[in-house]
Amino acid sequence: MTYERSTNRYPGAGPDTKELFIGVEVPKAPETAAATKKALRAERTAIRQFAIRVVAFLAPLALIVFGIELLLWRTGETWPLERVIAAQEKNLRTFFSRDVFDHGTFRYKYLQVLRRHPQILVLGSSRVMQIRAEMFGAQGEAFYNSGGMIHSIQDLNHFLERLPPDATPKIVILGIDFWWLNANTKRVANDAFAVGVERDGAYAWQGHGYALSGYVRRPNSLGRLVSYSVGKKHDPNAIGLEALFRRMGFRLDGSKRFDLKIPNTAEGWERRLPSPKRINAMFRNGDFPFAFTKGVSRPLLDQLGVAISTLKARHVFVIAYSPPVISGWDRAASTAPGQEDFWKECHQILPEYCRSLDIPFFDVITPQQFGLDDRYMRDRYHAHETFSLYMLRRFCDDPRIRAALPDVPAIAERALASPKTNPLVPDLPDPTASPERDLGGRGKAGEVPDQID
Amino acid sequence: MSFITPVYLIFLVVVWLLYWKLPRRGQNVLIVCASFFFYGWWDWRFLALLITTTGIDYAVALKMGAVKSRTVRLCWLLVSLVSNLGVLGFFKYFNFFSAQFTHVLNAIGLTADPILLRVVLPLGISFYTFQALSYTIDVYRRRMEPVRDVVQYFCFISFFPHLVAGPINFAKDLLQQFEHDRHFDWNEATDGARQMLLGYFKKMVIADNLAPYVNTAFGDVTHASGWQLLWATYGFAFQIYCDFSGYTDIAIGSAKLFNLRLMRNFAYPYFAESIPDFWRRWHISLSTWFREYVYISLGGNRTSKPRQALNIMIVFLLSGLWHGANWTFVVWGGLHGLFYLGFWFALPHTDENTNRFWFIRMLRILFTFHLVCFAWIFFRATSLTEGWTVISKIGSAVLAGHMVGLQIKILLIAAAFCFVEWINRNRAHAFDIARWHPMARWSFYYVIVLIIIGYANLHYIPFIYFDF
Repeated sequence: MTYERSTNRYPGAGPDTKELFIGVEVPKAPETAAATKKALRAERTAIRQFAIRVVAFLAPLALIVFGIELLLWRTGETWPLERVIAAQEKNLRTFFSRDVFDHGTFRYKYLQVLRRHPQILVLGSSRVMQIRAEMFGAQGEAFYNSGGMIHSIQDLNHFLERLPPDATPKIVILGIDFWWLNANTKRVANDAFAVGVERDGAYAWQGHGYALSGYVRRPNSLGRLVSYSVGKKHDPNAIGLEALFRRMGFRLDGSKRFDLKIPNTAEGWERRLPSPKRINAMFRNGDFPFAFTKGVSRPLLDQLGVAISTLKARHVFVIAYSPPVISGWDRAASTAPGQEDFWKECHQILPEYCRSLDIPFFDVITPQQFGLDDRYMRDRYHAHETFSLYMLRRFCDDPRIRAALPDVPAIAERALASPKTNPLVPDLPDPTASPERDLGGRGKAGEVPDQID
Repeated sequence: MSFITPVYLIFLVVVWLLYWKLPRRGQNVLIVCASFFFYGWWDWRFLALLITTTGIDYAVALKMGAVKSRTVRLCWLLVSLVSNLGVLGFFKYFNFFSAQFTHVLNAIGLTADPILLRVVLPLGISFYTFQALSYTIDVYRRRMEPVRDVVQYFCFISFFPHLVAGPINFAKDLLQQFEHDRHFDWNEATDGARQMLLGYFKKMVIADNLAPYVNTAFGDVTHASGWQLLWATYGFAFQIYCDFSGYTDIAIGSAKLFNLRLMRNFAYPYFAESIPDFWRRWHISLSTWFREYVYISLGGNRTSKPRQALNIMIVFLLSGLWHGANWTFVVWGGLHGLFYLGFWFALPHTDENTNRFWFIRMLRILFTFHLVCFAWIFFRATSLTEGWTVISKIGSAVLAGHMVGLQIKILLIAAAFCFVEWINRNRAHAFDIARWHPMARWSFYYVIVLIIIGYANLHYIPFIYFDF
């Protein structure tokens, strides 16, 4: 028996009426006739066969997907961040960096802050990642570098709102990027921290999709994945594909290691040095993060004041500084229209502002003030670890900081005098020399004074 | 839950497995529960709205069925119209009309501030409201008996494949399918799976890869060049088609797995040879709805030519406004109305004359396509000024010559897609390959799946019609 779906036919039916829904008589539409047992059995068989057919079609695809996922798991790329942290705590030599999946830096670092309750905490963007626990001597055990977690003053305030009181550090080294005070700098999102801290890329299906997509488009790269996950190139200390491929990633103390080769020749250094051309162009064009502006944004400055006051109210000793930029930037900033006033104001206002809040501030934006050149810079606005040690030594000229970080001057003197120290990496004690050491947590950092004047 | 997330596929498999274990009544209950779950996944609060308006329509239809007096029936129909259009107007058009009213007051010298509400548009409200209206109007017109089984009625309104972005199904077509036993149909199921594959391909590979380019150009019209905007307009034409028809293919394909048939919504619209032809191929369910319940109600073809022309314009303007509370949509609808009337007056017998020289047909297809693209500019622009800026920039660039920035990627995607559609233009959908040898079919499926995996844009880009 058939029934008609529609009684009217109109041009809406389209050009090929036979293919269309409207007006088409649909065959085989049994209405109320009771289905016989035989018919029911046949229908069940058909459903089962259809399901089997679908499974058979998907099986080879599922096998490929499962295989790739297995290899990715073996590299640590798809490990949840909690597992990464646990693995790093077990093996101090490990370093972590994802390649295909979202790094989850906000969450990774925040989880570490909650877990370790550091008493010395470095806060800032990727430009502060070079400060290491070994630079602080015995206090290093209660140190954590959360560089890369704060990209704006909004992020800083969101972090402080979220930080439980019992996880409050005693000392905060705050790297302030000048462009945090530029209202015209377009940020990816003002709530980057607030959103990012909730996310772990390992759980996002898109990450798995992009990984698969990459291997489908470039099947050759599967060979590389195999050799790094189960082959000779596998390194148990590297967690994540970027860590495996490029030998770089976050250490347990939050600092970032890079696999950098020291050039042997002047030409080698010439090739390695970051070119000022690009940064000049960025200033000229107002590219991110150097957007054109008339001056320092007062509302943003006030927000910075709120963050520092919050820290001070929790009895945190704040050391603020502006991380460095390669040489020549000042010429570019002073000649590019729409840049000069802002940069001048930053140099004037920020130290005064910090002084008014009674916190030390160091304007270390030009490496030349330490007698250093661009060899100490990894790129346009990221310094190497050696630069950070010079900087910490300078910080200790302030008696308050010297009292708070008593080991730093001696460590810095020793490391900077060592012939093994080069512009990239200082000769610091091996963090893995005593792997059985307690990784700290609360109450393990007795060296940090309770009261810092 | 969106069709393009893995959650939907898991949901579909679970519902499908349960569905075929149940008798008809159980299947209907399952469909309602699954549909509410599907809709509530986005925002469970709007479920109450959906249930309330659906409940009102169900009760109103029963009342209309029980009375003989036309006047009383009309009163009940008004209840349905007021509740449905009232909810739609409140959520979708209140701010728009409030702002326009204030503009008028200000223009005549009265100072007033618009009353603006901060409301979120419930997903799919335009679609399920129109679907519900088709039912109550048909019951009022005595074209069908009201349904007594409340579960069946909720199935008709909330069936998850069509709930959020159509196609808008008519009660006389879909509702009765829930009255009858459904039996598994192998051919329907396989064709449904194929159509879903086509939908995913269109949406994830074509539409979502065109979206970033189109969004960049239209996102900063003042800085974009004329040529860039021209390529973006062509890109948008394919983006919106693949986005919306991709959704429809997934919806129809999903429904076929349950041996339920939804209305066809697209019939290769860019091969239309005239604007009237285009509207028989584009968003068929909406144009049919307007024709059935607005155009015919206004007198249809039984009126004088000028009155018919006026009715056509009214239908197109309303159709534009249906898409959103913005003058750009009204202008888009108005342009289509004008183009339609142009063809109607100039070439009244165009659709009967199909045996013309192929070259002429191609020219007509190209001409129609460019008219449609021109109207898309206003559809995509956020304001009339922006739309006009785009047109003037494109005009200046084309008149100046020196074509620049030809987007090979867009061109290749469009050409490949048009080729596949052209060779299948007489079939229900472009992946209707049931006639192929099984080996060839499976190989084709694998190739498409690998293309989707390899080239899909996995950044979540919502379906464009979710905004409507």
